[in-house]
Amino acid sequence: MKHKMKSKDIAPYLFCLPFVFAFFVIYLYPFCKTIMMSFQDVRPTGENVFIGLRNFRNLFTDHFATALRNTFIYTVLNTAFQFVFGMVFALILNRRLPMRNILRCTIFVPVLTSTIIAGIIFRLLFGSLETSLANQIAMGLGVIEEPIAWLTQSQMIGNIMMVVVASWRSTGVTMIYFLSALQGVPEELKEAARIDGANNVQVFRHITIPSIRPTLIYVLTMSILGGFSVFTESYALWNTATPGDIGLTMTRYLYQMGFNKVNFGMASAIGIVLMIIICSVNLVQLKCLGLFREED
Amino acid sequence: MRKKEKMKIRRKPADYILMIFMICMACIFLSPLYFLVVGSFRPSSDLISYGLGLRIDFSRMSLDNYVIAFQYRNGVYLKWYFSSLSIMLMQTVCGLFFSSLVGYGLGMYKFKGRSLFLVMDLVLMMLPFEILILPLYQLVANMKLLDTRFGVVMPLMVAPFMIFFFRQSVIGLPKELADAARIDGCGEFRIYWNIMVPLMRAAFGAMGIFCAMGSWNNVLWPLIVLQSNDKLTLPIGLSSLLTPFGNAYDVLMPGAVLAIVPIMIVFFFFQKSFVSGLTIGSIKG
Repeated sequence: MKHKMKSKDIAPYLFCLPFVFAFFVIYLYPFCKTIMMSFQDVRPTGENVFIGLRNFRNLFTDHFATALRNTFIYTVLNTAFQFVFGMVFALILNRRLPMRNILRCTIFVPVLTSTIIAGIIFRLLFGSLETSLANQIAMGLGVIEEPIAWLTQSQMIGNIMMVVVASWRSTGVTMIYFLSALQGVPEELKEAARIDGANNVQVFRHITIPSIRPTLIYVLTMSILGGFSVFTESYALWNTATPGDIGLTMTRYLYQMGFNKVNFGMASAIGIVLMIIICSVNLVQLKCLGLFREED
Repeated sequence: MRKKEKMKIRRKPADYILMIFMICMACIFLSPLYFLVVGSFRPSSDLISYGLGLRIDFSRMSLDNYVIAFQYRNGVYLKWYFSSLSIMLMQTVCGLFFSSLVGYGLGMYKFKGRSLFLVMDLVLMMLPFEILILPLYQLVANMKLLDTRFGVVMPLMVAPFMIFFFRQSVIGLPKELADAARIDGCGEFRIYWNIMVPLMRAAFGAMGIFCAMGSWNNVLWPLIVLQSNDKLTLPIGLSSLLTPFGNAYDVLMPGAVLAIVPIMIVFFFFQKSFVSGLTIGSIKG
């Protein structure tokens, strides 16, 4: 009897052992090391010298400003697109439309591809040739006179291209999130509001939105986390250096600095800045949306 | 009963307008895949000179590209495929095992430090993995695991998100079962393995798909760890075919089509757990 009591007391710690290991080796140690290296001149020979804030001061370059701007624009546009289209699709496909299930599946299919494959397709569709789809459509509509090289045209078009790739692949997931949340909205509440004379917009604003708030907060948090640390979309569209840093994002710059220029000190400084941005944006967002206010 | 319900639905004209709008949207979402599949049958010279567009010469389509893809550089494509599959398998099996162990421990027992573990887990979920890659690279290099598949899997074996999910699903399990087994003299690990794991099947399914898909599409970390061409994973191998000196479309296009196939198969067999696997975050935190 005594022996069994003992094993039940120790067991949870044994079960948690993998987490303790991962916490220290895979997260805490690298995290501290990143902070340390951001204040160091990390030399390939192994001798590291503390240089104070010089890495951070050296970050004030055009490259870094471009990476910062691109990452911000990408995150804002992508989040906005996800929310607007994900919500519109979810609201429509939550009605009893004919062919509803087929339509849901179709919007979801791109989720099954990978970002790199999306990149391969969109590189060709948005190629610089006169006969590539984007140029054909844009010229057909009279938006442009000459075929343009979408991928190397300008910073803004580059950012939009990344949003296009990301949205194509993940609007389906966002839609499913919103759909499952919408199905949890109590029908009686909406009915009651309608009887009291509320129109559709008012029902959406005052019944639906508050009911699905946890999902909205979750999707927003994840999209901020994923948006600011975007790397794959950029790599899928431009796997080599681009003219004028088109499509350069924070993580991409970190990767370049760390593995192409082998400057781990500077790369760590980029990582620290990135982490501070993500954490503060998410904290502000969670605070404003009142996650800490209520029961959860 | 079902028929009656169906008869009741009276559709408004607005529904049909919305349906047509959604059909247009569905076509837009599907069109890139259409161009990919059609493109995979076209000679690469056509893709180089015309790109992907409305102009398609269907008479020049053939299966040649698929043959070329498998023969390319002594079948390197198949090696990438094998590499991707083995990393996916390793990561999913290890990830499920370790994360479910921890999640089970956190959800099933009351013990000192439980809430601390949980808070630590939630904090890790909010930490961008990308900022850890430099020290992790040094760590993997010191362990002589660079350019090995295990090196890719090693830091991803215990996933904070999966721990949290397993913990949530364990909370709902009947604890009396564990007590009954304990009275019969069953050890704690056997309670987990023989009694609880079968009850957690749905959670395992959802997390398995979540983990497998994350591994299949992962780019940044394998890109850093893997170096020799034979060991690359599919996404990295495929993008290595895109060079400033020309793109090997005859390998790239069929390669991309075939790379989607495993996920498609999983999706069609396990649709339900697939969708719940990807949208798992909507559980109440």
